[in-house]
Order: sequence, then structure tokens, then C-alpha cells
Amino acid sequence: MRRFLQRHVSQVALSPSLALIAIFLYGFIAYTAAVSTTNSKAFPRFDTFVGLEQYWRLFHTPRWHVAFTNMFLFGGLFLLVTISLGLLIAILIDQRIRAESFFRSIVMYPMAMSFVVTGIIWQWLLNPTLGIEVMMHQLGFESFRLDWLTNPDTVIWALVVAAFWQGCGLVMALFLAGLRGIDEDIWKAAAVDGIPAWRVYVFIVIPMLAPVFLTVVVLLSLSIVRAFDLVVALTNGGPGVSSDLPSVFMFDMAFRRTNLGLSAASAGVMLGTVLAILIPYLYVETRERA
Amino acid sequence: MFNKLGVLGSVMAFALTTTTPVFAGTAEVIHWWTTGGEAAALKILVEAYEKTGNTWKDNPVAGGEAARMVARTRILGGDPPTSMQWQVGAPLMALAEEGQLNDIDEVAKDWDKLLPKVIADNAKFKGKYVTAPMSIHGHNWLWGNQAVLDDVGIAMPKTWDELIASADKIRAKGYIPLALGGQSWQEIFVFESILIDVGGRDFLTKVTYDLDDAALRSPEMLKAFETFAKVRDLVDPGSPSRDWNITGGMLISGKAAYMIMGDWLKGEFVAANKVPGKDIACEIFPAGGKTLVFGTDAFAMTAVKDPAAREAQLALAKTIMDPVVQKEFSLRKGSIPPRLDIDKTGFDACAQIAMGAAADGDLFLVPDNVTDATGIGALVDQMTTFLHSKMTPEEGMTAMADAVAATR
Amino acid sequence: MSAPTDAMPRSNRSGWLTPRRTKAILKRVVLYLLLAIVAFFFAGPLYILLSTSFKTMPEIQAGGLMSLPHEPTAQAWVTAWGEACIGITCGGLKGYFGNSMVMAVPAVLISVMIGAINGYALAKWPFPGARFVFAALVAGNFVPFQVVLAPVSVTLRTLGLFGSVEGLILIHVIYGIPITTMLFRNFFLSVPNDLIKAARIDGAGFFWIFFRIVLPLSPSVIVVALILQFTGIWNDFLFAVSFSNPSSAPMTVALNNLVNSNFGVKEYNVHMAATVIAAAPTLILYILLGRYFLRGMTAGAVKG
Repeated sequence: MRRFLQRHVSQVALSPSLALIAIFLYGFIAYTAAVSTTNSKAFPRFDTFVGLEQYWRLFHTPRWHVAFTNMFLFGGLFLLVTISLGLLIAILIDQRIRAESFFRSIVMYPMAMSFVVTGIIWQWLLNPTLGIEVMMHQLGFESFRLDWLTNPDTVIWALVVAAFWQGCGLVMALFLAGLRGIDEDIWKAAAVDGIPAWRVYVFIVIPMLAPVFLTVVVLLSLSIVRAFDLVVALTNGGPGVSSDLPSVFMFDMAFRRTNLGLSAASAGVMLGTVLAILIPYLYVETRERA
Repeated sequence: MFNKLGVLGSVMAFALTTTTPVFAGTAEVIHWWTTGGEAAALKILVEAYEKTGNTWKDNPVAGGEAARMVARTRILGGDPPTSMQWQVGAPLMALAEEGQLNDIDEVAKDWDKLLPKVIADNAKFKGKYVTAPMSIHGHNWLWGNQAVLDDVGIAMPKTWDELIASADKIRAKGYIPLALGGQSWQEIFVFESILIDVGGRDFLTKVTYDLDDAALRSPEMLKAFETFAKVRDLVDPGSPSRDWNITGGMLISGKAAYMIMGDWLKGEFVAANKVPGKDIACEIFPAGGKTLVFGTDAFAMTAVKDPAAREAQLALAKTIMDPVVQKEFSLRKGSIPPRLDIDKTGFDACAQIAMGAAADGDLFLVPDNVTDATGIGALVDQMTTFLHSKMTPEEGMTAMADAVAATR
Repeated sequence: MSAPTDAMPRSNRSGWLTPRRTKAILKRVVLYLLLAIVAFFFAGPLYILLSTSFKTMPEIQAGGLMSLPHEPTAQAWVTAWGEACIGITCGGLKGYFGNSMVMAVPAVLISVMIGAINGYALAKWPFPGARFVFAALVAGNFVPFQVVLAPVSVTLRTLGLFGSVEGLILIHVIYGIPITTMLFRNFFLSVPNDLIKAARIDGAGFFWIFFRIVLPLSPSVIVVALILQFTGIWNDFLFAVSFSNPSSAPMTVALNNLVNSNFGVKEYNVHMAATVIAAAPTLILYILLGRYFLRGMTAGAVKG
């Protein structure tokens, strides 16, 4: 027994976590999948088996289509904006500026705010009657319109801005750390060869930051999947249902519409999509390490 | 708003109410009344309850959905509260069918006589009461700023056609015709009012209770969508997603002429020193529709086994239905009491209209409490999508009918 | 003309401002301008939060988002902390603060410890299937918590932990394991294996190496893990509201009650003050430890 423990000490150390995760994550995912095959309403009822009917219903729910496409729309925009601007800001801060820690802290502190608080703040700022629009009018820009929150076609931008404000700090810190890890000699060599700075960045530095990009994408994707508090605080899915996201849809179905079966089906589809994207990434990521 | 004699009289009656404590239990109550105004009303209930010798353990959670979610999670977790604020009708039955409620028939012997039939029927499971109704709030009220109406030279409209016809005159004078907060729960009041207008109570029943496919694709429905499409022009650009109390402010300050909102709006008027019925005109809309869509605040009693908790529940149910408590509570909350035998003195003009409607049997239980939540939810989703889009009435009607059909 | 030098009389130089220097100065100006815009964007909301919290309600309703308070008053702060009424209980946020602390501190410490051991095991003591285990742990990150509310409730009930602080701590620890494991594993991969090998040859065991060699090398990644976990747990609302009762409710529940109450006038100044109070611990953590956070990143905590 003792020898077994000694030889497999690593696995033994890991096993409690594995067991817990097996139950609390994968077990519960299986539970949810099971519920999605039932007609559960307010409470889970496993005696109401309906097969894949909930998925059929889900597919025919217009609101779900809005929510599902929004996930990619919001997710894509959020990733694009946060990664590009986060990298840009990191590059700016990397230029050996004065008061560097000041600028760093300013960009990073919003990370400390919860999504709820972020949503509240930006709801106020983007409110046509209270926020930035009023301020611009008072400054004299009478025709200034900031109707992101009230226009179904642009409300996603409101979510993106708020999420960017909160998430940029982490991305910037990661890129900055990555930039700092780049050898000084590369810059010296480039200077000797007379290569302009922007070329160095685009063709040498950014490819070297590839590992950081991957990590950033994973961490940001977490926020996208979990972006429930933000939507509820900022737009509550509105106007209409145009800013709905799967996490909000799932919650509404479960608790407001007392339809656990449909909610579980939506969870299944969302998780399936996320894992379909995630597993290839993890495969690549862990392969390099082997 | 307070008739001095009425208040004095009820205070005296209040003070004279004594009950002998039987078991001193504790009632933990989950509810969503977290604001100052709601607290004032809740205090009435709490104080009366504690006079029975029991203790009130308060568990407020802001937001109806959040509160109900917490209550449901607690039930799943095996630690239910003693009582929780819950709707009547279908959502209540959902709990009862799971065996999660205690019946309180012991103290509800004469409730059938005291309550409007629609409430009595929907507060019972298998013929026994499982919840105690505290107050009623009406939804399809039309409020009008009297000063604005006088300035434009119109009277309160009685039908939707009249309302839309008056819009141009209102706009010409620089006012916004309809103050609306573009959230689906506010918009549905408008939509329900239109449904009553085109087809009466029966049509409203067919559409929102039965989700009848034929009704959803009928000519009346098309007319309803045509009227609803016109609402897009009645509101101001800042309408989408706006909170109801800020929207109410627009009516009170005279920026807008009309607002369709539940009667809790009266609390906002009173806070702004406007008299409901005088400064702000009120009527159930459409007038002559003889239908007041309403919701009930009721306290469901969970399936606790402990005898002291049981006694605490029964005492709570009894206190909730006490006539003095009901009257004092509703006076402060802006609602009307479910009991039909409360006298009208002290209530404002609008509340008195509502109490008359209740007595006449005009009450129509809000569809959320009757229909399958997914089905009515799909209807609401399509309603709000239509309002915020440029869909034609035909498109809107088809989209709604199809979405509802998919939920069957 | 030869390049200007200091030896030349001033009047002979083409000027201190050569084209090259001008370009450099312009670049700096543009840089600082851009940074100023960035700072404005990120700091603006905080400024508005703070300045509004010191204004009176009439002043807020009159408008002027960016203006400083005319007559600053800390009344909103006093109300938010000790007097704000949530329904019929008036006591502000202060009671809930302690609840949050009692819940968050153990949860953070335990989940970080477990993540460290897991990351160490996966990075330095690999075994067949370790990659798969790691992937399984990390994929778990992506479960939206709404999905697991029902089964967690049932599980907590079975364990008899529903509604207690211990139950909430347990949940936070379990759902924090994936991210802490990921952080530590990635960091430990960059720790040279020779150290470990040497120690193993000397006969050292798993935990000895962990506590004596690896852990002392890790302050920066520990800081990263602590900060991320504390932020997540402190700011969590969903688990807090679902699995606590009035006496153990964390501060996010109270904040929601305060800010989301729909009736009557919204006391924006109190809401803002309450928001800052709620965010204060995490903010302070970032200000104090921000530098180590960056150091931890640089040291490879999250290198892909």
C-alpha cells in the first residue's frame, strides 16, 4: 500500500480535486443534460421524459436564436476590441514612460469591479437622460446622440464597451508581461538593421507573443460565457430581446419562466458550442508541453 | 390621501386588536419589498404579526425573480422559509403539486365569502387554501396629467381610437403623447389593453389564457397589431429600456400626457404631492371594457413540519387576512385589499374605482398566473421584439403565433 | 555640415531642435496624449462614482455628470455604510461586510492552496494521462453557474450544509480549483526541473519538495492567484444569494437589494457610495499588490 502511494503520490494528491470536479462539474453537466430530456417545469422531474423535444422547441424559439447569435457577436467583438486595444495599450505603456505604475493601475483597477457594478456604472453613463449624452449636450454638442442602449441594432456595443472597460486590465497586464519578456537584443538588432519600430512589432514581436494570445483568449472567453450579471445590470436583455445572451436566456427559462427542461436544453447547446471550440485549443496547448 | 377620521378610527381599531399567543413561533419570510415605500406598508403587517406573540424574521431580496429564485433554491436545499411572497394561480400550483406547501384551511373557513372568486379559486390547491392574499394591484390603468389635458383641450380618452386620435393635438402643443418605459413588462400592459379594446374580455382570455392559435391569427389580432404599431409613434426616443419610475416622472412633471401603468404609480404621485384622481386623472382602460387585469401579492405557506412553525404560519395567514391590516397595508402601498368587505373611506378616488371593479367581478387575473409560463413568455418576447422593430402588423402577428405554437 | 556638437558656439548649430529630435519629441507627445485618453476612459467612471457619491440628490438631478460637487457631503457614505434601509431593516452595509470576509478569506486561501498542489503535481510529477486531467480540470472553468444551481442545492442539502457559511465556502473552493490549477501549473512549468531532480536524488518526497523548494519560488504566482480568486469570490452574487440566509448573507446580496430596488426615487449618491464600499477591498488589494501581480505575470504565471 505504502509503495503504491509513494509511486503514485502525484495522482493521489490530485484525486480529491478530480473527484470533486467530476461530481460538481461533469456530474452536474450530465444532470443538466438529463433534465434537458424531460419536461421539467419548476422542479426537476425525471419521470417526464420527452427525448429531444426540448431541443426542437429551443430551435423554434426566436429569442434563443437572438441570444445564440449574440454570443458570437458579443464574443467576437469583445475579443477583437479587448485584445487589439489591450495590446496597443501595453505597447504604449512599455515605451519606458514616466509614471508607468500610475497608468498601469488606472487600466487595471476596473478588474476589481464585479460585473454587477460595471453594469450599473455603464448603464448610468450610457443612459440618454442622465449620462454622457446629457453631458455632451451641456458642453454644447446639442446634436450628440449616444443611443446604444436604446437601439436594438447597436445595443451590443454597449455590452462590449462595458466588458472591455472591465477586462482590458488583465489583457494589458498579460501582454505587458509578455513584452517585457522579449529579449533586448532583438530591439538592438532591429535598430542596427534600420528596421522601423512598427515593423518590428508586427512581424517579430507579435508572433513571439503567440502563447499570450492563447491564454488571453481563454480567460476572455470565460467572461463571455459568464456574462450574466453584466447583461442584467446593463440592459436586462433589452430593448426587446436584442441584447439577450445564452446565460440570461438559461436563467430566465429556469427561474422566470419555470421551464427547467428548456433551460437545461439551452445550457446543453451553449456548453456544447463552447467545448467544441475549447477542446481543440486545449489539445494544442497541452501538446506543446508534452 | 388620508381621511383623518378614517385613520383615527382604524388606528383605534388596530390598537384594540388583541390576540392571545398560542405557540410563540418564528416566521421567516422571503419577499421582495425592499424600498422605503414598500417598507412602510410591510411594517403594518410585521407589527400586527408580532402582536400575535410570534416573531417575524425578515428576508428581503430585491427583484421578484431573484426572491423567487432564492425561495425555490431554499426549498430544493431542504431549508424552506416559513412563508414566501409568491403569485397565485399556476405558479402556486407548480409548488403545491410538488408537495411544497401547507394548507391553511384551519384559519380560512370564511375566506370564500370574503374574497373575489377569481382570487379564491387561484389560492387553493385541491380545494384547500395554501396562500394568503395581501393586496391587489391593477395593471391596465390609463393615467393622464390633468394640466396637460386641460392645456390641449381634451378629455381622458375612453378607447384606443380616441387616444390615438388625440395624439396629434398633444404633439402640436409640444407634449409627448404616451410616456412608456420600453421594458417588456411595461409594454405588455399596453398590449393587453389593446387586446381588450379590439375583442373584449373574451378575446383577451382566448389569446392570453388559451394561447388559442385561431385567435392569434384572427382579424381582431391583426387590428390589435395595427394599433400596437401606432404606439411606436406615441412614445419618445428615450423610451427603450427606461425604468418605470423615471417614466412616471415624465407624466408627473407634465412632459407627457398619458401613461399606462399599474396602480403602484400612485405612490410616485403622492411623493410629488399630486392627488390621484385630481391632478392625475385615472381610469381603467379601455373604459367600458369592464376588465381590470390584476396581480396579487400573496404569501404562500411552505411545507414545514415543525408544530411551532406551523402555528407561526397559521398566525401569519390570519394576520394577513385581518381587515384592519389589509386596509392599512393597502393605504400605504397604493394597492386595494383583496377582501371585499373593506369600506372605501380613506382610499383615493382611483383606488375606489378599483374596489368597485372588484366588487363587480371585473377582475382578470394576470396571464402569468394562469397560462404556461413558456407559452405566455414567447408571446411577450415577440410582442416586445415587434414594438422595437419595424415589422409590419402582419409580420408581427405571424411571428407571435408561430413562436407560441412552437412552445406547445 | 557636420553634426552639431557642444563644442560649437551656440549660434553655429542648426538648433537644438533637429528634425530627428523633433520627431522624437512629437512621438512622445502623441504617446502621452494617447495615454491620457486611455487614462480618461478608464478613470472616468471611477471619478464619476466618487464625485456623485459626495453630491446631494438635487445636485445630481440637475445634471452635470463630470462636475465636482458644489458642496461636498459625506452623508451618502454614512447612509450607505450604516443607515441605508433595505425594506424594514435599516443598518446599511456594515454587517454584510463581515459576512463576506468570513466567507471569502478561507475560500480564497483553501482554493489557492489546492490549486498550487494540483499545479505542482501536474507540472513536475507527470504521469500518463496528466494532460487529459489538466484539460478536464480547465474545461470545467466554462460552466456557467446558473446551470449548476439546482444540483448544487440538492447536494448541499444532502450534506446538510445548505445555508451555512461552510457550504458557501465549499462551493467557492470547488469552483475555484480549475483556475488556480491552471495558473500554478503554467507557472511551475517554467521552474527548472534540475532543482527537482536533484532533490529527488537526495531522497526528497513530493510534499517536501513542494514546501521547501517550489513554494518559496512562487510568491508572484501566489499573489496572482490570490487576487483573481478574491475578486471572483468577493464579487460573486449568484451563489451568495442562493446559498445564504439573512444572517450570513454576503455584501453582494445587500448591495443588490440596495441598488436594484425599483420603487421611488433612486438615491444615486447612496448607490454610488455603496458600490465603492463594496468594491473597496478588491480595489485596495489591487493597489497594494498590483506590482506583484505584474511580476507574477512576467514570471510566467500565465504564459501559454
